[in-house]
Amino acid sequence: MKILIIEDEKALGQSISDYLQAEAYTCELVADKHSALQRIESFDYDCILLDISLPDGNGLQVLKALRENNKTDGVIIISARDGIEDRIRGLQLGADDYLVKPFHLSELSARIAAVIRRRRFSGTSILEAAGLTVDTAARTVRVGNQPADLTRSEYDLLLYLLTNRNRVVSKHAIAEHLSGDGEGLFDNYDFIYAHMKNLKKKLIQAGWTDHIKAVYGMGYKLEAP
Amino acid sequence: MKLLNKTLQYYFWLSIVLLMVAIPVFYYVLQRIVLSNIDASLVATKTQLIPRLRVMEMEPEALQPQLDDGVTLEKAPRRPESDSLYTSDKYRLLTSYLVINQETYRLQIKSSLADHQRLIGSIIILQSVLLILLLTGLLLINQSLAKRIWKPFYQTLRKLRAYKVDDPAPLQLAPSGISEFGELNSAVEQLAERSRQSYLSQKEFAENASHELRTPLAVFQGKLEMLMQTTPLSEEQAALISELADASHRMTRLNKGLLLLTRIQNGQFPDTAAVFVRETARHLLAQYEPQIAQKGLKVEEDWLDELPVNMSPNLLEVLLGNLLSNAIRHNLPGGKIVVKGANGVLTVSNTGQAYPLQEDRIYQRFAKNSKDAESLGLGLEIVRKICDLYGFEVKYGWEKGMHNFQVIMKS
Repeated sequence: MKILIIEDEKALGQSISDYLQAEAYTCELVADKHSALQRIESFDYDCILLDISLPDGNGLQVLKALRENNKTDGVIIISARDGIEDRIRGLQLGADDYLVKPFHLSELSARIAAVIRRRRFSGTSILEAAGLTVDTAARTVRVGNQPADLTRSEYDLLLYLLTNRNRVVSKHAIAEHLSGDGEGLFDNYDFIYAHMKNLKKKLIQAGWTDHIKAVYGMGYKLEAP
Repeated sequence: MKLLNKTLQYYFWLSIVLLMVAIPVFYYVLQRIVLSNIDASLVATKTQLIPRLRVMEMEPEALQPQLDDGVTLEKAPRRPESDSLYTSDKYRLLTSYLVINQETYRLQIKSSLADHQRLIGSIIILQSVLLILLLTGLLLINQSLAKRIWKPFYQTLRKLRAYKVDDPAPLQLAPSGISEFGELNSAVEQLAERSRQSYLSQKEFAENASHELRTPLAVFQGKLEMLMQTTPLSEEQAALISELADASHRMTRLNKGLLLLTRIQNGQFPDTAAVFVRETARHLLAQYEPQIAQKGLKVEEDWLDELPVNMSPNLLEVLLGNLLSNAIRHNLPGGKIVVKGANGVLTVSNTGQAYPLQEDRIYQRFAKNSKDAESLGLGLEIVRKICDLYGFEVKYGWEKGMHNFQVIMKS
C-alpha cells in the first residue's frame, strides 16, 4: 500500500515514514506543495498525509486539486492548527480525517488503517493477524472459530494494538486513544492496565496464545509473527 | 473627601470670615456716616436759628421766640466757648454759645438717635440677610456648576471602571469642551490603547508560540516513539524513554491548555447552543468511571434542575471536565463526590485535603495547591475564563471537610 507524506518538517516526515514502513506500507516523502501536486497527478495513493502549512502554499490546495481531478485517495490532514474552523474547512474539502500535531505515530497508523479500511470495497473489513480474526465492520473478534466477547474499550484497545503490531505502543498513546479528549485530565494509567488484563483474560479464554507484552512500563507490544 | 467638597469647604470658611469681618466694619462705617449726617443737620438748624435769635437783640423786651422741640436757649453764666457736639443718652447734642445784648446764652439743639439706630439696625440686618443669601446662592451655583463641569470627569471614570483590556473595541471617551478634561481623556485613551495593543500582541504571541511549539513537539514525540522501537532495548533505556515520554506528554498538555485559554480570551468559541449541564455532567462522569473506580470514589448526584444553559457545548464540556476531574484527582482514596444542580447553580463538592484552599490563589495560572506534580495549574483558570465569558460566577468554599465549587449560571 502506498502512502504519500506531504510534510515540510523533514525530521517529522522521516519518523512517520520509518514508523509506517515497518507495516508494509510504501512511503514517499515530499516537503512542498509543488512536488506534492506533481506526485498526485502521476500516481495514486492509498492514503495521503497532508500538512496544511507548506513553504510554498496552503496544503488545502493539494486537497482541492485532488478532488478536482476526481481522485479518491484517502487524505489525513496533519496540522498544528486545531481550531474548529480549520477542522471543518479541511473536512469540507474532502479530507477523511484531521490529526493535530503533536500526535502519536501509533495513533496516526491507526487512523491510516481506518481510512484505508473505509475506502476499500467489501470483503476486506476482515483483519487477520496474530491468530485473531477481527471484523472491523461488525466489530467482532474471533480466535480461530471461537468468538471473544469484548467491551467497546477492549475492542478498541485490541484493534489499536493490532494495527500497530510488532511495535511498542506507549501507554500515553493508548490512554489518549481510549479516552479521546478526556485524556490529559488524568495522569493515571492504571485503567489501561485493567482493560489490558480483561482483554487478555477474555482472549486467552477463547483459546488465544498471549502475544501482548508489556515493555518495561513504557508501553505494550503485540507480537505477530 | 471629594474635590468638590474640598473646594466648597474653602469657600465656606471664606464666607464665614467675610461675614464676621464685614458686618462690624459695615456697622461702624454706617454709624459714622449717620452721625456726620446728624451733625451736619444740627449745624444747619443752628445756622437757621441764628437770624431768628438776632431779633431778640433788636427787641430786648420781646419774648423769646417760639423754639422747636429739642432746642433750648438759656442764659449761661459762663463766658462763651466754641461749639461742641457730643452724644448723650440716645441724643446728639449741639451746644453753641451766643452773646445777645451782652448776655451769654447757651443754645442747645438735640436730635434723637433712636430712629437712626433703628435704621442702622434694619440696614445691618438687611445687609446680613443679603450677604448670607448671596453666599449661599454662590455656593449653590458653584456646586451645581462644578457638578456640571465635572460631569465629563465622572463619565471618564465610569468608562474606565467598566473598561477591560480584552474588550474588542478600543476605549472611546465622550469629547469634553474643557481643555483639561480633553487632555485627560486623550491621555487615558492613549494609555488604554497602548495597553490594549500590548495585550493583543501578548495574546497573539501566546497563540503563535503555542502553535509554533507544536511542530517541534511532534518531531520530539515521533522520534521518541521511534526510539521505543529500537532493539535491543535495555530496561535502563526504557526507563529513560518513559520519563521523556511523560515530559513530552506534559508539554503537549500544557500547550493545549495555554492555547485553549488564549482561544477563550480571543472569543473563538462563538457557537452557542441550548445545552443541559446535567446531561453533559452525566456523560463526563460515565467517561471518568475508570478513574472514579480506580480511587474507589462514591459519586452522589442531586439534580433538582437540569440547568439548561446557552453556551458553546465544547466549553461546557471543558468547564465540567475540569471541575469533575479536579474533584477526582484531588480526592482521597475512598472519598466522595457530590454533584448538585439547583436553581441555576451547579455545585461540585469533594472530599480532599483537610484544610481549605487559598481562594485568591486557586484561579491563578500555575498556582498549584496540590502535591500532584502532574497538575498543571491551568484547570481552574480555564474554568474561570469560561465563566467570565458567559457571565457565570464561580465560588469556592470549604465546609465540613468538603471542597465546594459553585458555578452560578443564572443571576
